[in-house]
Amino acid sequence: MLKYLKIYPKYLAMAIKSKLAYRMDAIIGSFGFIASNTAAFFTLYLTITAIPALGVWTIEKMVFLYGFCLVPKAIDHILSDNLWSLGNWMVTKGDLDPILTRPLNPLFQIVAREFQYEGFGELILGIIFLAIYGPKQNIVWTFNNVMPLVLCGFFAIFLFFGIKLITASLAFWMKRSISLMSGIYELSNFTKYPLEIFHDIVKVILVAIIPFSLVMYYPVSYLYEGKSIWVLTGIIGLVVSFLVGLGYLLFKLGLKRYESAGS
Amino acid sequence: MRKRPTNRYTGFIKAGVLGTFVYKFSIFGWLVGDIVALVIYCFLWIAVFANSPTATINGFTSTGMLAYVVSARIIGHLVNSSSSFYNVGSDIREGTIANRLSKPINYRRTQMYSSIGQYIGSFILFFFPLYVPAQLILHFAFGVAFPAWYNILLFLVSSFLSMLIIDSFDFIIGQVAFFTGALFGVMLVKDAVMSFLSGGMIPLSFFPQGFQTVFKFLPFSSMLQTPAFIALGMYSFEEALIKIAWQCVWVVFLGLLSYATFGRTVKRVISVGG
Repeated sequence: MLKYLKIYPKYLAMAIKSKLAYRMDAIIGSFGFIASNTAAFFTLYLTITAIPALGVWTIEKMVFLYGFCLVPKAIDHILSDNLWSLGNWMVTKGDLDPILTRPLNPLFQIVAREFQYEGFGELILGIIFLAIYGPKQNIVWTFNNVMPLVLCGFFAIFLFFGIKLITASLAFWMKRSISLMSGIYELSNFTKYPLEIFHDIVKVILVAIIPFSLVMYYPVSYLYEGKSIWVLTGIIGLVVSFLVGLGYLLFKLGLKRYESAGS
Repeated sequence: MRKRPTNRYTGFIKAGVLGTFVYKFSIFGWLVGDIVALVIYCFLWIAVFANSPTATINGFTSTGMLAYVVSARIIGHLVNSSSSFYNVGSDIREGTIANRLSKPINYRRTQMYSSIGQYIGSFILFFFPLYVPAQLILHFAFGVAFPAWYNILLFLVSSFLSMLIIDSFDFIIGQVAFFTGALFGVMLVKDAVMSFLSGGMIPLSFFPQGFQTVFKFLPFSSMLQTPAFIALGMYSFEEALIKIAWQCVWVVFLGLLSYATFGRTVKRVISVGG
């Protein structure tokens, strides 16, 4: 374990250096993600401000929720973007060969060798939303609500990671799982909006099957209702651990099936 | 026998159509994200109208808005079928443009003709199979009226013009790749700005008044909102003709601009490559 902690910064430094060759790409890529999220934000803003409020949901509450979803998504985007390559072409192209010859955990190598600058666009925007709309909430910020909220955000990073790992690992069976992967990943966009406006089927999927809403929507919603979120945080921790564990199990099983590409 | 000059480009139309058919699955791959967004916006609008003190918001009724959101998404894909942006960008970036320029055909025009082909291809493969069922569902489940026959004809004209406007716009922006070398990022920015300002995400009547005045002098509303409003019968016949006339203005203006900017870019390409 200690070995990995030592190696990780070196891997990151390598990934950052290799990306610096295309500095403009990274900067404009960040702008791209800022632009698409800003457009989504203004759409939401224009939609909601056309009416006084959406039930109990004011625009301030909705933007805070939006920011809370954006930050963990961005951090995962920055650190584990290479999982998309696993789902897309690594299995068919035989790109895992060099990874399997090294005496390091294969998953570690896949994840650590990529550092995706573009995610900083979402991260900055998410932090701006939280910073502007956090103080505007009718909430007294104390240790008892900030701490579990931060924990939930931390778990949410691993939720994205776990969901991506599960769907990417299916590529060992499907050869390419990118469509399934992006389809399920896209579902995370639902959590940026109040859950109660959606149909029951959507709710069941987002809470019980692919629990994006359980992890990101409910903590914020509980907070607005003045409830304690410690218990919920515990449940979320368990669910996320289970999903990451399941993803790792699938990855391990898949690796056994992996046969290199023909020459 | 010498072929007439226009025939030189028909091959590009055909290639555009066939190209769309080859990559049909990639279209449906990207569709997933669209469906999620569509479902979100439909539910969001239903909730918004349920919480609205008035029955209409900025000129839209609840069902009118559903029809608009669904139609605008599908029409958006049709008018955005041009791949000029990516072609120009990668041709310049990878230097293949030198090869292309050596041929006795006009580069800008080949891009336009293959975009026309892609428009036809995505009309058959994508637009028709999605739009017709969507309209049937909207009609029978939500009571949205079918468009009048002349609206359908006007829509065909208007959406074709939209495609030409976007093609020129994409061609111009694609050249930015030459100066930045960042195709993907520029594409994200362009797509976000375009879909937001063309009415793809929300009708332009929801924007503050000041913005709407500015929009009158920008090409974006001609890219999507015009054909969408025509398809939904939201313009009278005369209004539709005026809007189409505006589209023609933009086709000509951006078309000329794309020739002009390309003339300048080409000089840079040669100076760098040489």
